[in-house]
Amino acid sequence: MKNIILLFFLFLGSYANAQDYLTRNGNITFYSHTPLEDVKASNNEVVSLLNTSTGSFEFKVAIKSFHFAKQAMEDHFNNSDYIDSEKYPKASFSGKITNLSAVNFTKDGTYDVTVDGNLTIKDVTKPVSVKGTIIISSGKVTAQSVFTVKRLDYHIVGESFVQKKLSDDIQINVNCQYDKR
Amino acid sequence: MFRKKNLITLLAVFLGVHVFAQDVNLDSLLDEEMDKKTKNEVQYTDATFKTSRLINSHSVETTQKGVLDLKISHRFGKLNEGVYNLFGLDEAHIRIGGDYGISNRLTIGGGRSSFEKEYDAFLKYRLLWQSTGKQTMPLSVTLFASTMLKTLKDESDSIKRAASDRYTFAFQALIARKFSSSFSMQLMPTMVHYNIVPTEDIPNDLYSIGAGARLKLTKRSSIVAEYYYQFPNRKLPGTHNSFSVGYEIETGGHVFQLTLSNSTGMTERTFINETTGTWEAGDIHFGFNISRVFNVNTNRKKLPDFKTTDEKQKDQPAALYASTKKPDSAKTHYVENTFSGTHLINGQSIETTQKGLLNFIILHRFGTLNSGFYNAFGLDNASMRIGFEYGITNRLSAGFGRSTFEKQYDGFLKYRLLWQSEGKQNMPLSLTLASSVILKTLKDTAIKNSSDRYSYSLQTIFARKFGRPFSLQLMPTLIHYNAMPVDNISNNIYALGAGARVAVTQSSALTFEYYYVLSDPKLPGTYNSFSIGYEIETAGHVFQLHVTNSTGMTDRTFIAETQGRWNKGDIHFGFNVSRVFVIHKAKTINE
Repeated sequence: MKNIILLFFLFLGSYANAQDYLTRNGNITFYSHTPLEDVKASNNEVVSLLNTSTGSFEFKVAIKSFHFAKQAMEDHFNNSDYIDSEKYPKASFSGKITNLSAVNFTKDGTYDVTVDGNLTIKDVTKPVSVKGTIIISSGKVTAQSVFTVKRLDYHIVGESFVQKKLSDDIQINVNCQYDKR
Repeated sequence: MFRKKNLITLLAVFLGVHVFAQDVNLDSLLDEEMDKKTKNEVQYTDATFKTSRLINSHSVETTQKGVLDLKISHRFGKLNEGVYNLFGLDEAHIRIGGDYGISNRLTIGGGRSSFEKEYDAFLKYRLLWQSTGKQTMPLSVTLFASTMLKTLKDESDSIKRAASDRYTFAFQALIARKFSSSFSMQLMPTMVHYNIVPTEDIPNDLYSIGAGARLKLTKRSSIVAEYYYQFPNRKLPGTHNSFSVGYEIETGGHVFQLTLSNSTGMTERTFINETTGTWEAGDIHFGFNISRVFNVNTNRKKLPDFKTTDEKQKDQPAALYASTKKPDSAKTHYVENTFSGTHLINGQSIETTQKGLLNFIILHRFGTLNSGFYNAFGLDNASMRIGFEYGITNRLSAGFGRSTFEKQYDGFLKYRLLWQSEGKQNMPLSLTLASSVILKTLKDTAIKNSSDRYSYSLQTIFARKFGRPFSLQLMPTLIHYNAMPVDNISNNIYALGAGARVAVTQSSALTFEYYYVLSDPKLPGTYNSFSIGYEIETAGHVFQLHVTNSTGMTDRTFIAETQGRWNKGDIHFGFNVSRVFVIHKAKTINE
């Protein structure tokens, strides 16, 4: 009898806490600024999973879904000199919210979080620590963050003559709206 | 009633199943989403051809909405014109035009050709677009219609012509398929309508069929070819089928093509139906096409402005004038880029070519602005110098060039005796010695001896860079003529030149060049040379636009023999392009 009750509560407990939030159309935008040129691109097909009991945050993007205002710029971006999307079609992030206890997923509000994890671009994985915001509103979860990465860490080099037009620091802007899975 | 054991097992199973159900494979989820997108959306084939032209013909490609594609096409003379005319290099035909994307499928454009002083205007509509995904379309079809107006006056023509006689119309259906990322093909059934034809037995509607292809060689280059077959009884007498080949390079916002063709013209009428040359006879024109896109009004979704306040401040012009960090006194720091290239505008600058680098320079002057609308304000006339300069050491350069003006050859040596520097060794100025020999090969019955064709120049150029925004240069010059065209003038002409460069933005500047001839009397009918330039530095090139009253580009012709006057409108618009190639990597002056 004891075992049954134990299992029953375990069952209930796991059911209640293990809420997965998923998005299939999250937005990630990146931006490079130099006095000579601005490079901006946006991806609206980000797939991401947030597990509220473990605090794990996972993102996967298809590189070809990054769109630029200028088609020529988009073509060059996908080229093997830069992001080489033919060889590395996806980029991903896998991490955890470090201050998970600070977030109450059942209560509407805005929570500041820190997410530590690994960012993989062009098969290069680097640890990153990112500050962001989680907004809970009527059952929907929105995750937002702005952080910077060094493009040379991920071997995103480009030809010699564009170096003055590309910043070494690329600003990444994340804005994803999740639904309960 | 459930047995205890069974209940436990059941719950355990539910628990287990539930735990498994939480695992989501994002990778396959993303793949799923991408597949869905591919199936639910139409994937339009892009870049069947790299630009909206094959070589002379239009390709199926239309211009992106809101984009202006500037087109400059150039055809030299024929290779069989021999070495005196440098295999056709002395003859030039150009077309300047633009294509504008009204929508992604509809392009409007036009241009002017110096050949027969022809204006053309066209409309292009991409009726069918090759695609995969939700809708598959195996081909792209673009409909093309153009009108051409020949304004060249024919003095020998005795019959009074109506204005409408000068018009021709072309209609094409461009049909293409991109077979793979490295191969595309196109067919061009064409009809050209002449409002007036030379004789009665020639029909006004001339039919032909063109075929073209593109083969990719490397990720940025490809070869292209096009051929037009004119149907017999539907062609003008004495004309031949047009065949052209090209080598295409795509870089930055430009597509650059080097071409060989038996056709002189670059509009449908002139190249499809009026090609008079043949490949077999060597009537081959070398040429090039340049295509540059400008985003005038792109309607793509505006992306949010991310600039932080710090960055906005950084863009202020004050940054341009910010003092560079003080060099440490243990090392000598040589001041680089006093001027952006080895030529100021017409003449030499203080700069020598870096060791191991080959500098390829093209100087181009059009005709004078006061030649009027008929001659497109000088655009139909061209004077050009092609030259090379090689850095033997960082201080010593040697160069060679040829000008179409008077068919001159010139060779020069430049040595940077003093180099402005800070730090361990302080040198306030730079000093470069430049000497050249100039040979005029233009046939002239007045010249008796071949040695009379030679002249020499010697310059001691002083320059100082006053920080990034301003550089100044003085050029005391001596020009020696082996033979003077008139008797009472000394064979040595002295002049003093002054030049300056004023930075405007990070990568552009204004330049000035003035040469005052000290010798009195000067050569009859000559005036001092004055030029103003605007230069842009980008991606391995320095590109300069300028206006000048001088036609020539060698020391003798522009310093001592400028016949134009600014106040009379004898102003030539021109440009200089230079491109640096690394022959062997060597240390720069500061390394």
